[in-house]
Amino acid sequence: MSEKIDQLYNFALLDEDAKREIRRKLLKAVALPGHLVPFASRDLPIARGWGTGGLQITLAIITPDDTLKVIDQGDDESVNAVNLRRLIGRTTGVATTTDTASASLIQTRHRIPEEPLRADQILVLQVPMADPLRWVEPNLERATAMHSESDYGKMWVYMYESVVRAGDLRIASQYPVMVNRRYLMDTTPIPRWDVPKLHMAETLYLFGAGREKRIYAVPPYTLVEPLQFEDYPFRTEYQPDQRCARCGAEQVFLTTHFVPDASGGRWVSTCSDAAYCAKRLAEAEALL
Amino acid sequence: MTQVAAQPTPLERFNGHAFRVLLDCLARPGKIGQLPSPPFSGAPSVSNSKEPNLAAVAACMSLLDQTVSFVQAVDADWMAADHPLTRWITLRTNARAVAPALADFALFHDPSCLALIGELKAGTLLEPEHSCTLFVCVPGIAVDADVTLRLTGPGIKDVAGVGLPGLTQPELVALAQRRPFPLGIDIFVIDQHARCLGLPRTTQIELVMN
Amino acid sequence: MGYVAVRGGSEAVARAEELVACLRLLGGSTPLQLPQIRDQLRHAVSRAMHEGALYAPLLAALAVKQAEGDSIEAAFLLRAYRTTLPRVIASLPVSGRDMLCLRRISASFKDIPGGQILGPATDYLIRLLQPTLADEDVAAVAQAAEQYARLVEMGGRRSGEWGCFPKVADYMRQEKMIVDIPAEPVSSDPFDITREPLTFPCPRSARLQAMAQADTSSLMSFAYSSVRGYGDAHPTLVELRYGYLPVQVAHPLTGEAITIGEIEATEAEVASKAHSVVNSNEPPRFNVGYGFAFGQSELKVMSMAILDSVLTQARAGSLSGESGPAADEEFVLLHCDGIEASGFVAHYKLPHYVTFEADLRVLDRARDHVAQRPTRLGQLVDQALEEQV
Repeated sequence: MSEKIDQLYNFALLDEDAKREIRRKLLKAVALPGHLVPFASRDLPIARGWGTGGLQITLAIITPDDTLKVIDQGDDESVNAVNLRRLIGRTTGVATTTDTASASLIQTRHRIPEEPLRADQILVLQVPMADPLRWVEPNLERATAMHSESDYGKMWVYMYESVVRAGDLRIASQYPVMVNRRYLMDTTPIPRWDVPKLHMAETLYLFGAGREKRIYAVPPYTLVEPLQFEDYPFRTEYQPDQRCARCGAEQVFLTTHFVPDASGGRWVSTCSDAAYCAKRLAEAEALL
Repeated sequence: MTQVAAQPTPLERFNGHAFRVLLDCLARPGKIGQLPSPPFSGAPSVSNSKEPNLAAVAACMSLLDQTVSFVQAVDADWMAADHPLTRWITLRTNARAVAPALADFALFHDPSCLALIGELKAGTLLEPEHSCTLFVCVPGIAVDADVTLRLTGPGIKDVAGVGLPGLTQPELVALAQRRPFPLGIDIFVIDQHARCLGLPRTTQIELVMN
Repeated sequence: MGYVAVRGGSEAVARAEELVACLRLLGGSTPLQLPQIRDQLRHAVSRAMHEGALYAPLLAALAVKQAEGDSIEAAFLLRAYRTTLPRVIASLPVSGRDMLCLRRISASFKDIPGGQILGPATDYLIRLLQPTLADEDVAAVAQAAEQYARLVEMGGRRSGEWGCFPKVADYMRQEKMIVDIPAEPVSSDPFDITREPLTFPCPRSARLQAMAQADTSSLMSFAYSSVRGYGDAHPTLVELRYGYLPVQVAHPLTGEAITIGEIEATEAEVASKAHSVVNSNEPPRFNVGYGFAFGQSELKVMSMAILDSVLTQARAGSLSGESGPAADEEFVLLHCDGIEASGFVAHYKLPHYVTFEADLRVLDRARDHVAQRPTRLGQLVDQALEEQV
């Protein structure tokens, strides 16, 4: 095929008007930490629910100088991460990396990398359900009114009931947080382990919900406080005896998976942040 | 990997880079960003004695298209819709020139216009994002010495200091006046060296008396 | 080199793509040509176009072929292509009055001005499989052409001429039986849900656009629920027409209307039994719902028209009795899009082991909580007993 036909699409796929709309909404999102800003959300060549919100933010802000990292479940090689990276790569030609420290722009689903993020990096999170009030008020018209008045009484009642029944808030991931003491925000399905990383962070967090057509943001150095009761404080998944079976890391989020071996196989817990785990192993090996 | 997309044109490249600077400045009030060189020249004068700050004009234009509106001011007064510079911007962006209370974007060509800031829209409780984004041109932004503003709020670790030399006391007071959150105007201050300061509505601004 | 991950996601994704491409031709039959799909799978092509929201029969045929006949996938392919197209110009409003009708029927009146035209209707077919279709050959094409010419001639003889007909709804409006077309704030550009987010309450034009590109089956289910019992809809079909509609644009310089082509389309109006008071000086009238879709898509436009009328009445507060889920605008409009719904349902195929791990930890805590409960209760009982002693 000739070069002309090859370059059928605009840089970063979206047309310039679509990018501009997202950029305008991102600025408002940053100025209103935790507030859901509606955006048009264009159709994309990947399915709704597969990261179209995060993808649209990435495509609207990416420049040719960026170095991109894409992860899903903390893993660069997860099939959906591979697919999104392929699409962004083919439509921008930017450099990609698996090393968190070398990336200027990171798109993620379900995790925040273990390595501390810096001020010169941006983390874009893919969001399936944008409104934290959906558990108690699925109607958006009414939920929007509740947000506008910081009227979160229903949410506290929901939390109370769940503590009485289960001894803990039943929301495992997507834990609700108050941002800048004003807006209740959904943390997307990141595990609770990652929630404190949003609080007074160095880096800028951008959230995109493509199907729900909402954008929101947590700027750096912003108060992000999980909803909790004095006698039932917020707890992460951390267990004192936890340890990655591969690299030995303890202060990380672990996932359990099956490893086949000579005797049939066993279940082990390893870092969900695959690149971090690999980096630690490489460092340990270099010391030997 | 096969490329299926063209590389950005110079204007698109500017818009992309300028946006990252604006985003960074708004996310980190007090940090001084450097805007890229404007991708054009030859914009009409603002008034007989004043050339526009092209970096500020280009940064503002990078966010304009047919779906949004804008308004401009110079010498403490609103500029007419048929002003050559307004027409020049409209022709290149398709954005509508409208009355101040309706404008999605405002471009103040000098700090004296800060007296007009109260006329811009600040959003509603249901839609606080429907507020004006303001670009203000100033002579300079002092990086180290001569702190005139002390900033606190989201995006700032403890407290940030910044100097705006040449602004009068009433101008600084108008700039520092914030509306009750979540309503408010989000401001970019841009100087003659294309340096940029972001002041989102979340930033509390305290004047430092010298 | 140290640790190498045994994952190979990139490789797997690439091979999956190749496998899909192979499967279509693995049966060894002659590859389908696009005109065959366009002409012989008319309804599949129509559905891809209205759900994909792009009028492009040959591209839709390509989408149907590539999607191997999956209607949602075909619509998705078209939608993802449409999003990359520039909006050159908005057409002038297209009126159903200008439709060159192949078919128009009304259930409201036995006879209507211009007459009922059954046209190409499947409604009264006896649904028996036709074995003769199995070994159809090219001779059938010529026979069909002859037969068609004969039928058109007969039809023309009966109704005098064929072409444009007055709309039944216009007559009913004249007679003040149904409400006038609802006034909406006039803006130069139509509302476009692909350019502005759908927030609630939304204008009727946004509602109609959302339904026009919605999944046919979803609209049908919502409409069915409302007429069956979970709602207050009592629709009567005012008119359904199918045919060709000219599309015009204003010349950018002279402003003169110029016809740029025609589209095959179906439209329907239904009257609802619920009375609507337009203003206090006038007697009540029936409400009207409107449906429109590309191609011959009768189920879709009728479902859409029923839902439009239910939603209009719900907004006006003129529903009586059980309103049901189909009267909730947010519920209907946010769940009727096939591309969005299918994407999200399918996304549960993506790995979720991080969130599942988090769920497991919460499950552990709930188990501990339940295990401790008797002990706590026991302590309280012990304490109470001690106090009594």
